[in-house]
Amino acid sequence: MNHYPAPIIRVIHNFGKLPGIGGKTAERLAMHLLNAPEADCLELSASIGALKKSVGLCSQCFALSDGDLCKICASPVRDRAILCVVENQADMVAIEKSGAYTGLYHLLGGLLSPMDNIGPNDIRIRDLISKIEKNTIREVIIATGTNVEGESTASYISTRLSGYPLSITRIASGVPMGGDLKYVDQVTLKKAMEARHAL
Amino acid sequence: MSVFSTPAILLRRTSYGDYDLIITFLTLEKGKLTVIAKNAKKSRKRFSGVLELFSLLHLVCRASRGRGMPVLQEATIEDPFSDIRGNIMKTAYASYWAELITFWLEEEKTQARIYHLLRYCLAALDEGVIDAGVLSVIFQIRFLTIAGLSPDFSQCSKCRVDTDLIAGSRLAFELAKGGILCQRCASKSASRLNISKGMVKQLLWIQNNDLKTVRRLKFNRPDLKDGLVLLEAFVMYHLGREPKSLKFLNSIR
Repeated sequence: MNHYPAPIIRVIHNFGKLPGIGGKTAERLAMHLLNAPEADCLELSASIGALKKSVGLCSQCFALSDGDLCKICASPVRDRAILCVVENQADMVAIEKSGAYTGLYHLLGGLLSPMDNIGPNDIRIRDLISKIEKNTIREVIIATGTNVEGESTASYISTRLSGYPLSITRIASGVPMGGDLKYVDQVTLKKAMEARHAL
Repeated sequence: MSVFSTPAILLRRTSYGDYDLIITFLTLEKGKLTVIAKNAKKSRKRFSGVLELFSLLHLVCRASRGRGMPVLQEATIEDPFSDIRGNIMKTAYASYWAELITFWLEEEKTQARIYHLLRYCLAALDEGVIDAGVLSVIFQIRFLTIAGLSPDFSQCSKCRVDTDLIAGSRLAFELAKGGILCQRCASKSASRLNISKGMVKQLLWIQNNDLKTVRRLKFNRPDLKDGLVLLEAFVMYHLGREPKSLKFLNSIR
């Protein structure tokens, strides 16, 4: 790599810091940029520069946003009486992609984890309660993962919200579409059998 | 390339890179065992829904050549203890026990008694017939006994008078000595915890009797709280730090 001029080595070094990018890929990307039109390179550098400056958190749901409110919270067509509680942005995006939900979100920013000492004060449970107290919420859907941390966080939230006049629901778990039953674990199958529905 | 299989309880899992997991188990045959599960995070057939905390599994691993970690090849659920994960208090207690074992035991040193103790306590916690606090008392006292740090509840650790013969209903416990003190000896000791004589006798009973019979024990709330405070302080004294899961437990208890 020392055979390259210093500016190229600098770019290779910076690409190499990205996840999943090794030395050879970093070198290839740097050489690609060197041969690309100057406008493309400037656009890439400007977009990276703007990323840190203009992206923050939505003041209501704590999703990533380039304004005070994210697109979902600012939308007049979303149902403001339903709140879906998720762990992070990626989970919110996954639910949005499903197209099955039209309410608002609340991002916890983590899950309760006794072994890592992540307690109720380390995630946005107080903000959730305060949001419920200030707004008219009809239903809270707890859509945390189905691992131990996700299930125990759901159990904790449901206990904390039990005194409020609203319906608390948990997303269902079951056999994935296109899934082969013999590869599904027994806990999921048990839940799928318990939540079976009439055809 | 040797392959081995063993029953195991999952104690801890940590992400390694984008797809792999490093997992610590308490196994029946090899004691505490840390393995790598390659591609476990994107696996839909081999490990999907299987590698969850506190689950009782049957493992098949391939021992590595040299000093590397064994590689997990297959894991089958024997009991997921799924009711533990649906209750934050149960999860917190199970995490505390798992953290003690992870911290205390050496890698690949067989500890069948600790394996059976943890399996018994997790099964009872999952079943919900014994209070989680009572189970934690049982776990800690039996664990300390197996680990060779058994507190002495049978006599005053200074004047050697038998517990039954000590006058008064309250006793003291000195962490440094790991034993109880009668009221006369306790007055000379600076750092001590107070506990009822009845609770001391119950702790003694748990130490000396079979696990299957200890579920008959009944504790009153203040005594149980004293017992938990004493044992948790004793564990911290020997660990030299407060376990993270104990901090969490104290924040929600």
